[in-house]
Amino acid sequence: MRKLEQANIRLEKTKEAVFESLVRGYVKKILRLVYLIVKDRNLAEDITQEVFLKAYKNLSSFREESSMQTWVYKIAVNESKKYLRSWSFRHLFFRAEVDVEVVGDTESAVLQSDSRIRFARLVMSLPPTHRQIIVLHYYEELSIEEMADILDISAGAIHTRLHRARQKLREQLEKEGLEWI
Amino acid sequence: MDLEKRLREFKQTADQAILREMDDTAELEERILGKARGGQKTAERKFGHRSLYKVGAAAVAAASLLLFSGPLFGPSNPAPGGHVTTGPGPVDPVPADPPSLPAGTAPTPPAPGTSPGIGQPPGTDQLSGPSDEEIQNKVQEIKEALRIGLTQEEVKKRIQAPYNVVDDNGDLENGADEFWNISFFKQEGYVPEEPEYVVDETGLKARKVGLNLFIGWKEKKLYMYSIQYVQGEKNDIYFYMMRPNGTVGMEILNERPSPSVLDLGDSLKNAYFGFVETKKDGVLYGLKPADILKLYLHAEEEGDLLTQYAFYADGGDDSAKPSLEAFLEDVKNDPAGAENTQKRLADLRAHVIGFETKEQKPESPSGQKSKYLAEAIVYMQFSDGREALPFRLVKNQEGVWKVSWMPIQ
Repeated sequence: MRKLEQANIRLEKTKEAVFESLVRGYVKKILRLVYLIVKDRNLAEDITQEVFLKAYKNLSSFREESSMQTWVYKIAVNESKKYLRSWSFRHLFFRAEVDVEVVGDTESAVLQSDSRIRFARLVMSLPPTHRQIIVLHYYEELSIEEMADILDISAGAIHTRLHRARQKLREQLEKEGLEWI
Repeated sequence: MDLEKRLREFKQTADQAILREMDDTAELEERILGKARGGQKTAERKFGHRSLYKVGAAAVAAASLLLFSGPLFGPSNPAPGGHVTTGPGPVDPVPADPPSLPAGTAPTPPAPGTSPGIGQPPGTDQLSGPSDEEIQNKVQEIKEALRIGLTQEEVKKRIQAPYNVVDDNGDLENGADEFWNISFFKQEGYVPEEPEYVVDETGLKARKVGLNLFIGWKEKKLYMYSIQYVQGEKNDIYFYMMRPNGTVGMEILNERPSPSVLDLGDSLKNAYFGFVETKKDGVLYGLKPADILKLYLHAEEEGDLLTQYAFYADGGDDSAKPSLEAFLEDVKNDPAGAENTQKRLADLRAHVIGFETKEQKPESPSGQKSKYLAEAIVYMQFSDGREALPFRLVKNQEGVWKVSWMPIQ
């Protein structure tokens, strides 16, 4: 009995250590990913916290069938979706504009006048489903297969969604008269 | 310009611009680690209590009579048809798809498992009554367990505590056809002076009962509910209500609400009730954008979804606006959203101290004429120094300011 207890304590310690390294290694990434989806810093922090608490709760069920990153991203995307679905979020807070200005003396002079800023703003103004797919592919630089795993859909569906998101961006560019930026 | 190239540059631009202030996450990391450790303790305690009930429910029920009422709690003369369940115990959370907890409340703080239901054994520290935290945890458990539309059997399974069927003598007139009352943290032998369908302010104030859950049923399905509970040194009585349409309300019964710039004066009240009655835009003619904002938030606070919806501008630039049916359905199916809305409204009421309105030409895609005459952004200013919150309205062809769909920008 005593041995069993000791083994449990060791196991618990290992779990704690794994979780701590997960937190240290991925919080920044997840916070950024979530922020790009929900566009609100406080909300992004709350969701990030939820993501890791979920991960902690289910750590023992993580079977390494996917990478730790894919697993945590999957939780993050699902948690973000919950908020995007949330009635109050959609009805009240969805139009949140992101402040897309560059800080820093040297770069700001160049970048603030740069059309890249306007383009980034356009990406951030896309509807959430389109923005999510763009963020996963172009910001997180995930492969089609990884995205399929995270979003739990086929690779073909990812291609379709990416195509639609690009199409939407093109339309927006034309609407805004920015097609040649 | 090649779209693909632009997209590939997005990462760099995002890092330099959008995400520029997100490098320091040390505080968040510590918060998460702390919460995770706290959450684990909570789960263990919950499990411990459940085991206890399984092995010795009878002994537990007998011991509980030292402080809490047993199965036959409530008025000494229960209403006809009164019924009491067996199997006292904690509130079971919703097994599938539990709601997202509102911002900042993520894991349940330690000790919910220690909060006694009816028939639970008093611990040493329970001899002086339940703590605020225990009551608060029970409130949270109930909110997580109950959903509009649940059957009586489902509710009994999720809230394993004795209930009384209450006869309201037809007084409540709220659309429900059956009522139950469930008391938690109730002193043995305590009988409220008021009928059970009236909030027991005396008993709560004296902490003779910690929490009452009142459920309204329609055709045997959960139609609405309220939780009345006591908190704080002054024994404030909190009244939380889940309305039939899925919106929630919260007030402190023994306290007059603090004055707020969002309060409606007499003329705005007249306009509000006129609009509630008719839903005609003409009633709102001549009102300023900030007035419309107040009326809109008031409708939201009241949980009057039909009026809230009527405040939205029609179509045009707001083409994302759903149908009324979809809007109502959305609310009904999103208790977490309703909870968040109530919290955000309470925050606005407590902290908004003024408005600044800026009118501008309506935004429209290039080359197209907007269907609105003007656009206004009302900036809500806060007492705690946070950044002003913009709220968008548009002036329709009748010259009336209406709320833009998804107005907070």
